[in-house]
Amino acid sequence: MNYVIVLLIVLISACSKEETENQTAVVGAAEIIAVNYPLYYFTTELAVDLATITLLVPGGVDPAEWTPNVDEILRLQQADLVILNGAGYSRWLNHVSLTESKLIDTTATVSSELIPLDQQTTHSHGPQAVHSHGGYASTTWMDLALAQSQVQSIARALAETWPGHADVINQRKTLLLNKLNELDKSYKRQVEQLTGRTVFYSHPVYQYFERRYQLPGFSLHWEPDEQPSEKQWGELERQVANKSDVLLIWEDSPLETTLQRLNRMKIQTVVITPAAAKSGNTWYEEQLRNIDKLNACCS
Amino acid sequence: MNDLFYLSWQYIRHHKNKLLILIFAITLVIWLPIAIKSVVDQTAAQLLDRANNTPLVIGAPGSPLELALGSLYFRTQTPATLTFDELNNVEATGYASAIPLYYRFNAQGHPIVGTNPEYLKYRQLQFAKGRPVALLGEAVLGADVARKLNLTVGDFVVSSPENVFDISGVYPLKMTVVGILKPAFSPDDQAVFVDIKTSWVIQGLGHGHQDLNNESAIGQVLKKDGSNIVANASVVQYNEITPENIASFHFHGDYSQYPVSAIIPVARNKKSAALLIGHYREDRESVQILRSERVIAELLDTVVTVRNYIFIGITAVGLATCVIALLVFLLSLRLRHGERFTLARIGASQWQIYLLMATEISSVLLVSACLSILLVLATQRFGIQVLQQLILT
Repeated sequence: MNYVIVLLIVLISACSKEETENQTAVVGAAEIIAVNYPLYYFTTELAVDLATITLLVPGGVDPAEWTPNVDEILRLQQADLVILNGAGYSRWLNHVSLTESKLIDTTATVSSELIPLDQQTTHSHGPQAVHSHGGYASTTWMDLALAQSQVQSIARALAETWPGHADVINQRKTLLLNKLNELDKSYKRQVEQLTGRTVFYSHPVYQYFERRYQLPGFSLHWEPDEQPSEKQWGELERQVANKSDVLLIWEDSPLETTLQRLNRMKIQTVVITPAAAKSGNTWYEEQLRNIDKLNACCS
Repeated sequence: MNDLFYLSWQYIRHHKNKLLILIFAITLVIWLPIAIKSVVDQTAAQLLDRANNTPLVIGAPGSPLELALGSLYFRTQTPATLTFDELNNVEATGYASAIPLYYRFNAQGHPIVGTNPEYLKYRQLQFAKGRPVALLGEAVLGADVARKLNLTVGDFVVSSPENVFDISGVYPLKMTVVGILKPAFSPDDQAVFVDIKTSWVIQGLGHGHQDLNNESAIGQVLKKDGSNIVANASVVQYNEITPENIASFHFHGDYSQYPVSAIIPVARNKKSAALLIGHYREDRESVQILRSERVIAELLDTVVTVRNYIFIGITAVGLATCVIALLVFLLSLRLRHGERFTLARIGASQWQIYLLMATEISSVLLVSACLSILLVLATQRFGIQVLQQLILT
């Protein structure tokens, strides 16, 4: 009889131990996934030692055009936080299954400052009301004031998730906000020198930059790595006719042949990259390079 | 001794119909009260277990019982709804995380439960095959659903229309099965799990259709007025979400105003749970929060009362049956007076005659007892499942 009791105790102990081990196994390293390079940079600056910070978008792919595959969605489901840009930046968001509370929309607190896209197509069909599939301009971080709001949102989410590290996160936030503030001032200084010039943008991703630094311009739909068509050249020639001191701002370095033809048209060019995609430099270094290029071209 | 058994056996064979009826009656009298108690206790344990694992539920004002049964067992007709922003309100209290549930629709009689990835983790549901829902239009099946509908990963499950006469209603949505759950022996086995946004697509709050800017849709366009396109009702709306058309699926209006049937708040600890209840009872009149354990316990009190009435009735019937059985045995003994006289004349002693009679009676009682034990064991093993099947069908 005693043997039976001992055996039962051993079995119960074994079961309890197994349960404890399973619970322990659940606790693993935290992971934060950011949806673009600026957010990845901000999060890394704030929480580098709190969690593994990941950017799932491969290098060379525009995060605004990226869509996660099933494995990546399952990884997003496992993440502790998913740092979103908001403003409709991640168009795949409506089509995937994620836990709302893990999604941090970094522009939710500044939604009134988002810029609606022009020329949205609205439509109606059947008994349903008129609706549109349009949205907002989403390269928000090119307004460094909005970028600072995004940093605030990330810091708040991190502090709520890891309240024990709130002080460290706040200290880092202050440092990062100072850096971004300096960057903002540098942009302002450089852009002031462009006052009075006719500005073109290679792609409509500079809406927030235009507003923040008061540098309105015409947006083209030119890809840096593609040769513009004759129709596109014709449209540009028509638009720059009778205009002097024209500056074309590119997202990335254009093809050499494009550059030569622009030179022949006496159109100056400069690359101001939003740095949305992963590169060899940090996002901050890319912004410093932007300022250097602006300084070199236009001072 | 063998001659006694031989004579008893011959008697039983000769009167088998009478004895079978007697065995049947005695077996029922023994089995029924035990079976009812066993089934009620098991059901109560299952109900309480589910309620204990889901201590709090938030829903629209109304019947607490309906909300508890809906959120725990997905058994309710057209549930009252909350808006999705209540989820954010729960999170904003800081006391709990929140899991949404939307169980208005069904697929071939099985509830479609729109939720988020946290639900399967919360219930600790394991996959027998496949993976969790990742995309809009994907479904994970409970073990019973997969078995009954004979579906596996890669097959499709179609939502059922709410009303067959509503020909202008929303189209059924064909959903791809991406996972099958292991049996959990709970209502989750009977459910089809989808992302909550898929439920909204079933409701028609979101849809996918031809690109009206595309030249192929020119036949569907009634007029173009600047940037506004008015299309006719022949615009092709997709009733299946595929990798090719998923990008065309969109939702109208504000997500936060979309419906949810209930919210399961997962409180951080007991103190947070108490604070959350206080918050909702004091500050929020448009929603109700309930302790599901209490609601189910009240329901069980009613069930136990009913069980007690049934138990009393069966006991009375049992006593009557015992009296009748006794009467049958006494009459049988009287009828066998001649048989006993013959046995005495051929040399059987008095005690041998009594032993013979006793052997026959005890055989009936023994067989009845054995059958009752078998039936009780079967009831304990399969009773709940059989009862659930009977209720469901």
